[in-house]
Amino acid sequence: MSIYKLGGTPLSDEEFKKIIKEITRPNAKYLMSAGQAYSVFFEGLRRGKIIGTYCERCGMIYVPPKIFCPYCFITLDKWVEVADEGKVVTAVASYYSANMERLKEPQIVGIIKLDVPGRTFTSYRFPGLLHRICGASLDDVISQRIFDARVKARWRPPEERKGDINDIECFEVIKT
Amino acid sequence: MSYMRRISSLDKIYHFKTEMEINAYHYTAGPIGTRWLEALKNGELKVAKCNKCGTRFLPPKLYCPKCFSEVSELESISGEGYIDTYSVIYYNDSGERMSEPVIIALIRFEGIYGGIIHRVKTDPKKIRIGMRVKPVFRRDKKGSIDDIEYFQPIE
Amino acid sequence: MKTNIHVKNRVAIIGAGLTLFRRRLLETPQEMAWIASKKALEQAGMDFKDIDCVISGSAPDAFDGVHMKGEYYSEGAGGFGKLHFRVFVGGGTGVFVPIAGWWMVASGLCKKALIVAEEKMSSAADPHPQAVFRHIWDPLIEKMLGPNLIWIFALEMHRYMHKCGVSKEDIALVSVKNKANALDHPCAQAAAKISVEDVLKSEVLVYPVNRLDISPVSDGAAALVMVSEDVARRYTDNPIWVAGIGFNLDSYSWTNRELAYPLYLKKAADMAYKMAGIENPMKQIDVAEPYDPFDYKELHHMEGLGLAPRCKAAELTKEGVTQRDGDLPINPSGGLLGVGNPIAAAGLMKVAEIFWQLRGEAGRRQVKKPVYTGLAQAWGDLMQVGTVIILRR
Repeated sequence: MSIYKLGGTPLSDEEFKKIIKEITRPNAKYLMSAGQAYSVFFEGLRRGKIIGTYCERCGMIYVPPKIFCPYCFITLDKWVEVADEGKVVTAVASYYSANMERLKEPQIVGIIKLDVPGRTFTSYRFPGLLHRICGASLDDVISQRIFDARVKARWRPPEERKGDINDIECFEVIKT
Repeated sequence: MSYMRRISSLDKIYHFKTEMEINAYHYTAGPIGTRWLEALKNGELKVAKCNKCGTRFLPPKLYCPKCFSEVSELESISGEGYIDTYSVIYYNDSGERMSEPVIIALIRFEGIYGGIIHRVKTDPKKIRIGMRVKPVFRRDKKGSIDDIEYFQPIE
Repeated sequence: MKTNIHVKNRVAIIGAGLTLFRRRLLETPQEMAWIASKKALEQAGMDFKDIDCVISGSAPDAFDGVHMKGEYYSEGAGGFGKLHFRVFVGGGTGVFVPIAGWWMVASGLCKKALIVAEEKMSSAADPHPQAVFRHIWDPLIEKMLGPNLIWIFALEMHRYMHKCGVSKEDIALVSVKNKANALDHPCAQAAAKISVEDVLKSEVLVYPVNRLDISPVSDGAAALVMVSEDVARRYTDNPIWVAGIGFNLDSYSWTNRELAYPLYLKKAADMAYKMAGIENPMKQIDVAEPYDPFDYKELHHMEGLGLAPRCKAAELTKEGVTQRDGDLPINPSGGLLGVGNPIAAAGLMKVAEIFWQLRGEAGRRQVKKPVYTGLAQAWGDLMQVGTVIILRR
């Protein structure tokens, strides 16, 4: 029967391993500029501060900072220091690494809605950051107790900071 | 302006090194391509043949590049071809000058639609379009276009 | 936005074709595109030479491992010497390809369009196709945290569960339904008769996502033939018309907004409904194929599409409304969960399914009630894009 009529030729894992293939390794290394706004953000992290920009027109605060407001299309040139505290909007427990290798212990990650003194936000637009969450148990995730929990950044010691997002080890649940 | 002024006081723009975290791509060659590579492994350069319109072509595919019918046949050819166009390469992928230049060419074969790109081993001063060439196979073959080490001029 | 635009040509679909959807296919991307195209042309009663433009779609180049892969695979669809372009909106691409085909034919730029979507994820073999996904995130912030793709779905799913009071059991019903529907699909990769219990007991990948909540990694291609009205009348007595299209993109800053409800999808759907003259989608859409790479996504998208009141899609599912013999059959094909998820091809498979359902050609998958109007939808990018097409018999 023609292959076209069959709709293709499935290969099992075993067959795929054995069959003649061209195997190539990509050689693509990138050097990415963080740009001006992110560089301020990363420099801030190195000093233990979370810095964003805010839009005077719509009031939105961007963390990490943007140099323009994607909603109002105006230049953002006002910096604001955001608290290193906030509350959890959503959180999950990952049993797999980025390359889909099984982890021994689940890693809890979530989106943190950051506090900005003197400002409030709606649930539809707020400064939110994806990060690891520590001091929470798997059960806190499953029971959804983690939702709306207050968290605070746990910083790496100043001498270990590199000026990237991992200068914050995680956001730690504040015990009440 | 105020924005630019504030930023330019910063002495440091951060840079990050990153790469595609994929170790390798594994490409299968399709039903006809696989058989064609197996033939190369046996030291034979074949072409695909369309049963419907009779077109013989390279590189081999499951469909005829002319009439789009399904292709299921390979046919042997002598392997003797000619240079359609060529280029002499002096620098490698990383931009470094190589000790010996490498010639790559589009090699076509009489009566065959298409052709293949491959290396030609000869004096860059002597190469010319239309020059007749034949494949030289490696001793250790694995089922790859690289089983042909290069094409060499036919004396 | 004014979307009741005047078009030069009404646009009909007259043929559809699919390859098998499998974890690994031997065929090259060009050959997969060829198989799907040939099948679609066969149903239309056409040949490659009859086609005057080829519109294609595929997910990031990094899966096939060929840059400009549109130019590469489209050769198998005869996409040379003709108008050809590739469109891309992440996972939303599969439905965006026929949208792009529609505007080519509706505008009169071409009359006989071949619509092709192709995906060969198995080439990104080492270590896993997942490694490639990491490059969808902001490279300086999110990628530095080592995320995998399931994180973002899990985060959205959990937010949806929290906001709407939906349980994992309720969500698992979607997977059970779709995998069972796929048992009747000849191209299906992940068809199975399973129970809610099976889903809940399958391996937890990223809580709240278990293995059986997710569609598989796949190779596959899909194709449609889209033509102008005068051409359609010459080739078939049974054309299926494109009644409406819609698409919308939200911002890349996905952590800065509510994830429980896809506002961008509502906007895309509203655009398509307005064009199709649909005021009450719950009543006027007879059958739908919302995008279901994860089971909760079907519910999430039904709500964004207005096919269920907000936070109520799970209830409709529990009541059996979304079964093939229900009042509003959802994903009668088996969806991505059952048929498989070769990204762009999976979206186009959904459009093909609506086409076959409206023609009454879905065989054992044919829904029980008579159907006149159907909808297919895809979603993609960083919780960002909604693409919608409405077909009518």
